[in-house]
Amino acid sequence: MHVWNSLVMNERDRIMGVTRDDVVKIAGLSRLRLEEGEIDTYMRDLNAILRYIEQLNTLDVAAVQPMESVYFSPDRWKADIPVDERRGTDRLLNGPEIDGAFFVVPRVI
Amino acid sequence: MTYETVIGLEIHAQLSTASKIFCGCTMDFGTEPNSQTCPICLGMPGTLPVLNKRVVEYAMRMALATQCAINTRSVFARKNYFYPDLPKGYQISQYDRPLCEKGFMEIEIHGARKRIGLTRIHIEEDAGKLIHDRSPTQSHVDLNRCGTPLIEIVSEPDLRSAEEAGEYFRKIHQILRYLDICDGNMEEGSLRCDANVSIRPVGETMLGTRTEMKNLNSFRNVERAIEFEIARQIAKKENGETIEQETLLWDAATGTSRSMRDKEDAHDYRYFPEPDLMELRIDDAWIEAVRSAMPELPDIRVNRFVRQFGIPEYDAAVLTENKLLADYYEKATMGSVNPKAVSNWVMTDVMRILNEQKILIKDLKIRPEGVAELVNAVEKGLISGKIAKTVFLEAVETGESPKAIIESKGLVQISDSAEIEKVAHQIIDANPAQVQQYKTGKKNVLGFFVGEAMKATKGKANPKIVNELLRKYLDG
Repeated sequence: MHVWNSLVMNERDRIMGVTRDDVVKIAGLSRLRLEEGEIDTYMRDLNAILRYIEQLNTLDVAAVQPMESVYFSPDRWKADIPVDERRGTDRLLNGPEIDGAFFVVPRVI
Repeated sequence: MTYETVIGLEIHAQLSTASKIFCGCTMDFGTEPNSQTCPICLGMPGTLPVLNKRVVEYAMRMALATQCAINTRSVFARKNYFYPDLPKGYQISQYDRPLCEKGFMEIEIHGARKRIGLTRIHIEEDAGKLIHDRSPTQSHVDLNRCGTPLIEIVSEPDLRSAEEAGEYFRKIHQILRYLDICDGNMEEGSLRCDANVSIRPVGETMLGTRTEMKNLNSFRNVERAIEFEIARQIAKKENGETIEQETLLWDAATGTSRSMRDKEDAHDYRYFPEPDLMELRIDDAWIEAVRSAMPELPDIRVNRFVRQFGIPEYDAAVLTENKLLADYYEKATMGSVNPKAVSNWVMTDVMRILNEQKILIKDLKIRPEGVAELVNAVEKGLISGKIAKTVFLEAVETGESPKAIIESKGLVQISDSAEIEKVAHQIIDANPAQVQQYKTGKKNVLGFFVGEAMKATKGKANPKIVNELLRKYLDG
């Protein structure tokens, strides 16, 4: 559970690094199929990323407000009015496979 | 050992806005698959969401109705998971900074009021629908529901029985309907409920391991599923087994649940702030504007009905159960001389017709003004209570006003003594045998004479006068 949180946040002072098991688990969550030979590559890359992020953790940000967004512009609303644009059958053309009006994917249950 | 049950509910309510939360698509139920989609709700690369202002207002209404604090700053977050019902690969929701927090509402259980805490109410978008029965190897995807605005209402673990959970869910449903922000239609999925259930020995303060029950889409199913789960957990404990934290899917058809093991890992949602949306800022002026437009809520309306119309609290509670029924009653009462009589008509005759014909009150052909006319006609002695019932049924059937029916059919009650006297004499003269019986002490034969008199006047004679006159002549 919470691989990223535990590595980056809770255990920031004694980072353990991403293990092979973590890579397999994250790939599973992301529905990615990994070849055996790729696991070590991703483990190395992810650890490099974490080491880079780790440098940020050395900064004292106690007095800095969390920045949830890079811009703030108030009143960015849309009115609750239906807009019937760009509809039509072409929206289905992006589907990997279609059946009538449905998108079709490999069975998920 | 005796156990205490601890339950918290997560309720998802679809908001009845005219368009989706981040795009202009409509959300009509049961339309052609994928016909209500656009590049935004299909998650096409390069599109950006823009927040529907009314969604925020509707969520604020619910917050105010449940005494929640509205955060002046809240933040949207991405909840990441891979599933074909969610084309973007994440759901836009709120996480550590929800719109509203720390509210409560009251439920009534066996005459006692109990306060149930609300942890939070947040805004999010709904996902699409998957259909698995059209092909053995494939799933069909309908994304019409994608981007439908939802509020998720999360309760504290304050509920202690299936009954309390059911009552709480009913109350949330009632408030959503009163606020006119959700149609509350559970069959169409407009209102959905998940329950977190755990047990612990009575007296224990630590919470036991909880399971999450999904797919509880009726009041009855919430109660049944929770009862089933409590029994399952107690049986496990008694057998010395441990209760696993898991997600269970309720199957209403069999009355059992099954584990959704594939979902266990999916809780690793890797939330992070949604970079495509501004933080949501709400100032006091906006909150006050929403507050000033709030409708009267059910609990307050019950009290007002009791006070203003002098009807019993029981009547007021039944009549205010849904807003449209309460509006109907109130309108009928305004035009009538006897609020309690109107209450009786609405609670018995009107509600019976609604149940029998399975129609909504807006489609009932007798309007509140008609009920008022009917009550007034009885009160003034124009028609008897019995005639009123037939007039009511005819008004329900034809949509004509009771007043017009009474006039056109000549149903006005005969209260003219001279006319009733004539009928009484005719009946006495025509039935000497029964007169003899009466005279020899069988006083209940009076009922026979009254019946004959009513028959002769087609039910129009004032029964009180008929009784008095017949008794006078027979005794005299």
